[in-house]
Amino acid sequence: MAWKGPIDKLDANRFQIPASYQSQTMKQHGVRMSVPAVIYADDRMLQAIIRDDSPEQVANVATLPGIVGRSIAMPDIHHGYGFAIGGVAAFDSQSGIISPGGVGYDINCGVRLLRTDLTVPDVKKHIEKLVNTMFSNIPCGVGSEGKVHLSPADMNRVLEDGARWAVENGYGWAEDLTFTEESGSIEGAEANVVSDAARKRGSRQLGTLGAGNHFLEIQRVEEIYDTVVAEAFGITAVDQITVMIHTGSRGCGHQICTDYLELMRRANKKYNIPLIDRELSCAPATSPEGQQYFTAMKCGANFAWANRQMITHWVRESFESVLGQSSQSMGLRQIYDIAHNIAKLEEHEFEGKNRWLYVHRKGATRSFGPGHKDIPERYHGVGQPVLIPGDMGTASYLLVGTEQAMRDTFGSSCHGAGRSLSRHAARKQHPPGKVFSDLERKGIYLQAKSRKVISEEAPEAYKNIDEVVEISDRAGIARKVARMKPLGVVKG
Amino acid sequence: MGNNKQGGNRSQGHYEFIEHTADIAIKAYGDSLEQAFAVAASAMFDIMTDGAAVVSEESIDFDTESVDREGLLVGFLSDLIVLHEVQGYVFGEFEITFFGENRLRARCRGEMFDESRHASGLHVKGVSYHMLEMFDGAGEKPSFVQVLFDV
Repeated sequence: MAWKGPIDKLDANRFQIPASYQSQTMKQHGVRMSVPAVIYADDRMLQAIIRDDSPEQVANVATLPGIVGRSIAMPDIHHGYGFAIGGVAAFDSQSGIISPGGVGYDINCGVRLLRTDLTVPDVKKHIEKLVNTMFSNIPCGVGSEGKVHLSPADMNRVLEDGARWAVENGYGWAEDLTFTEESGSIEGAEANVVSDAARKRGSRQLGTLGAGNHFLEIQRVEEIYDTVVAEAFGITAVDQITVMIHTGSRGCGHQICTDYLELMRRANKKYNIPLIDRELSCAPATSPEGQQYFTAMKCGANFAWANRQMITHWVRESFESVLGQSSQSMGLRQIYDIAHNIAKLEEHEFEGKNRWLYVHRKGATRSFGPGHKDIPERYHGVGQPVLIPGDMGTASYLLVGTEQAMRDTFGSSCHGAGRSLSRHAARKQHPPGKVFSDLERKGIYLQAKSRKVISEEAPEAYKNIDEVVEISDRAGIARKVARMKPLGVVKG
Repeated sequence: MGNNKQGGNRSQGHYEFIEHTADIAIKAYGDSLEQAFAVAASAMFDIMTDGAAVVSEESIDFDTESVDREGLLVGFLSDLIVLHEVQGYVFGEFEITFFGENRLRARCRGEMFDESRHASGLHVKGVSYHMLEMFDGAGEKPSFVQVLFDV
């Protein structure tokens, strides 16, 4: 299903599908794009992008009611359900829509980055033990259960208060909240709109990593690109040790998405919104259905922030027990925590006017520039940390948000590498033993629950993270700060 | 797409994997549409663990409702995910005992997930409408459903 429609080169890093494009499906449903679609890519990357139907999906999003400016695709764009993964779409808060498909199943799938005062020589001998300790302290894999069994009342508090609940219950530090998007507790979450099934899936899984592309990594800083910004974030030298956590809202968020997709299918008919793809189902932003989903999505997002908060606490405990020092003395502090699957009501300047928009980021990261009121004071002068998780054999990145992102992408940037091989193909081409020994040769120790997952998550199954980050940096929607290489990896 | 592969052969039907870069799609065949639903369920548990290693110790019946057959398939499979995650079940055998336009009743046989005997596969997190297709052969031709799992 390669892209055969029109595509114009805007500059070295951007291509555009003009709003005049109308696919057969759009014709059948009597809809047109009301804004153009913009894809961030260079010539080489575009060739890969147009091989799947993600350009079609980015164009389809531009037909949805009330879309503002442009439908945007990040360089890590790939085929998703309805909305492509790596997409950003902003809808007017009055005339626009809200769609669960624009957020994804894993509500607030996201990334947390911790820094330490430790360097490679401090941990080199202990990597295996650190990884194994984290592996046993933090439940992961299929069927894994959380260590904390939540009462229904506690579950309500998790859904409404997020990471704040976790910190108040002894999981982590108050300053962790300062360095989390939305302070780890997005306002307006009301637990009564979350189904019983979603609560039950969630209450057994709080504080679990999950499986698939989620991970926990001990990393070393390999390169620093901007020493001033890096220092503001607490990264001061090459070989400094960091810890990255990549996971989301687990079964809780998935069930919320499942529940509300069913509701939205009914809403689509009720409000006569033409549905050109079942996964684009949506409701007017101002409708009861739209607002109910938005409220439930916030609960899912809070669950994810509580989840990463608890994992952070156990990471600290693991480091303490292996290295025999307190987390404070190791400087095991949080740099930031970001969501890369979420919809937010944000105020953006667009065509000279301030407008309230529902910004959907599905596989895209918020990338607010310096001075924005929603970023922690300590980072005001430099911008928001943007965390980009890579595959387990290559690298992850720390970037910083920019003014240009505020102008061009509603303050958004890329979110990761994106797969290039299907799971099935990866299993055939990369046997787990070989993946393990390849990593070992690179000095990376892996502990994983499932041999299948090891194959499927082989580094070769992912796109080149360096290229994805490079384009974001060149296009100015986030700037490179540091590159971190894994030393130890926990996988589900 | 393409590059289809024989996947499994239980619940009186078979299924095949459809290539998909980020997630897993399957096409499940049966003599009837409801049988294809049952085969899709066994495919899902093969992805999560090895369905063949599941012992039919217990039997659970439940109802799923939706606005249409597509919704029934997504709802049925989503309900199984809930049973797996909330109560810890894995299932190896499935039967649709009532099959209407807006409601179905399913009987599933299995046991509690046991890490020592059941392989840990991929966690199916959700069932998508994306790529969802179904064909009712009405007993004359094989019926099938195609469904994509979010993993």
